Amino acid sequence: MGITYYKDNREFINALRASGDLVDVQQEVDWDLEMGAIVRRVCEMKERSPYFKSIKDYAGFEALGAPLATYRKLAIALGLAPDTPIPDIGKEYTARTSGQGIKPVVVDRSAAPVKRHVFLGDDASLFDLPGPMVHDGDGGRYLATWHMIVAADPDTGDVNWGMYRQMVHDERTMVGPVLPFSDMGKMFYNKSVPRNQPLPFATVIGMDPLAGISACAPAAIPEDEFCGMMMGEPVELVKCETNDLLVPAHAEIVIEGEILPGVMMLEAPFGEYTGYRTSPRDDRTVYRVKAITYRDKPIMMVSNMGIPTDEGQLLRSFSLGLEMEKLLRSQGIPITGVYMLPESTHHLVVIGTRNAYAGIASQIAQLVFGSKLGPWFHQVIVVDQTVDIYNVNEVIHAFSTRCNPATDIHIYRNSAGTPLNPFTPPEDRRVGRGSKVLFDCLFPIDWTRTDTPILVSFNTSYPEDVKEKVLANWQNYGY
Amino acid sequence: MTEYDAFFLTELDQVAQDTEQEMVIRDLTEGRAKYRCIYVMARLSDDPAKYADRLWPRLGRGQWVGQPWSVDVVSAVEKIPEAWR
Repeated sequence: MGITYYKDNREFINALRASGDLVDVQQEVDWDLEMGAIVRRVCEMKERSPYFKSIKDYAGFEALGAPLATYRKLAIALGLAPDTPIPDIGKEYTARTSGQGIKPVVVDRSAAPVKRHVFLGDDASLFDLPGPMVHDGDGGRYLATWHMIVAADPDTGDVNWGMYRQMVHDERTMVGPVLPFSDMGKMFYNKSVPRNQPLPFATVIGMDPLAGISACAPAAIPEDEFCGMMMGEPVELVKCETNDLLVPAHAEIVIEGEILPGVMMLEAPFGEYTGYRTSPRDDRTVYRVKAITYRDKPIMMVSNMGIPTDEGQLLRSFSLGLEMEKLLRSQGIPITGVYMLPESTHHLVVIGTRNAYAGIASQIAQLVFGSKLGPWFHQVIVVDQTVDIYNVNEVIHAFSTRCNPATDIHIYRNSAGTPLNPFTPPEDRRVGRGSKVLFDCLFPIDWTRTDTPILVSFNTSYPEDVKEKVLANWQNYGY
Repeated sequence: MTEYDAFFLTELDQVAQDTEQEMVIRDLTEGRAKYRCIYVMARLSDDPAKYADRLWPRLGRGQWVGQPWSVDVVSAVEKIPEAWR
């Protein structure tokens, strides 16, 4: 049976409407804070996505807010029933992304809706796009909150799709942080900057939902091939107007240009995914715009970072956790599951394992902290297979009763972090220095059976026949 | 009178006044180009009547101060090399 997926943002909007996960907002909304405030409230209430049909100053444009900020919407994006349980969504993701990458196909521009309107050079103005002022106090308007930036390694040509925020500076300039350990950061700072060569980029807004999920994922292969795996067939791309990069043909809006070496401009503050405005206003990477293309009646996308849950928190948690699971299984660690809590803003991960040998929790923590995923999270809780990692109550119970404060909390200092961590001192934020912690919630393996505490619960403390009798008579008891 | 705002990374009483300095201001004129950023050389004053244009200060994390200053924009500053504009 083929995979169900949505070829573009508009098919996805129709699917969200059909499942009752979208609200058509007919009343005109202001791009200046009002649209952002609505999306923020939607995220905090885990509400339906607002589809804005009329935007002040921007007749002819529409906008979609909070497109993937709940597990229901994520399930829909994957072609699953909206109420699919989280572990089953994870299994579907893992099944689709564990094979070989599927290379994209290039389509003619006549088959690419995103080429319907083309603006080049000085005719390409960022102020002709309804970039929202997302939060009061942000350093500027952020066109790119739910988007992806396409770039290619200058030597190998390997493609990267990634989400890097971009603030509008003026008509043809955007500014944003490109962290040096990110995929695009490695291309730009290790290759383009030493050669003083601009790096071509294309910012894609309103791509299909699986492309967005791919751009969020810490994929080990180029994301265009990763996206093909999720779709089960090649993603359709079209060549840019001013460079050789390829962008999704069915996207809503594409902004093309160059990332400039040797030039930095002030960016931020910004309400960030941690739920705080943390990183300082600082000199950041400069994007110079050369072209803008878009579809008829283009749809701007608006995510709104803040307290949970926005799509960045949800999808990064989802994909980071599952990629971590792949890594640990590839090393033969007898894990039973990995769940990164979106409510932790993808800082805290719970890992279940069989307590197979001494030091296994430490081995797990060192593997995941030492991987390319490491800078994005800080806290690991390791529990045994008796704990349901998706059940917060069980995790808190295990943490509170099995983690010895004197011996089971392991701190790793001077780690790779980001400037966005609210808990780090300002001097550490400036250089992206972090720290990590492992909470080992496994009872020591050398405790004897008589010394090891026994979990007391309905499931563990009664014979099977008694449990079955109680369950069979539950309603008879009056419940 | 044009209205701008600007972000200051220090306490406001540490901001140099009445001397030319490079800074980024944002144009608050209503319309599509609201919040356009401009690198300028400018003089500032916490006296809202001293210079022709109004400047609303914000602190480093975007906090709105609420008391207007004034600004004299002397010249624009181009940060991008000509070859890459």
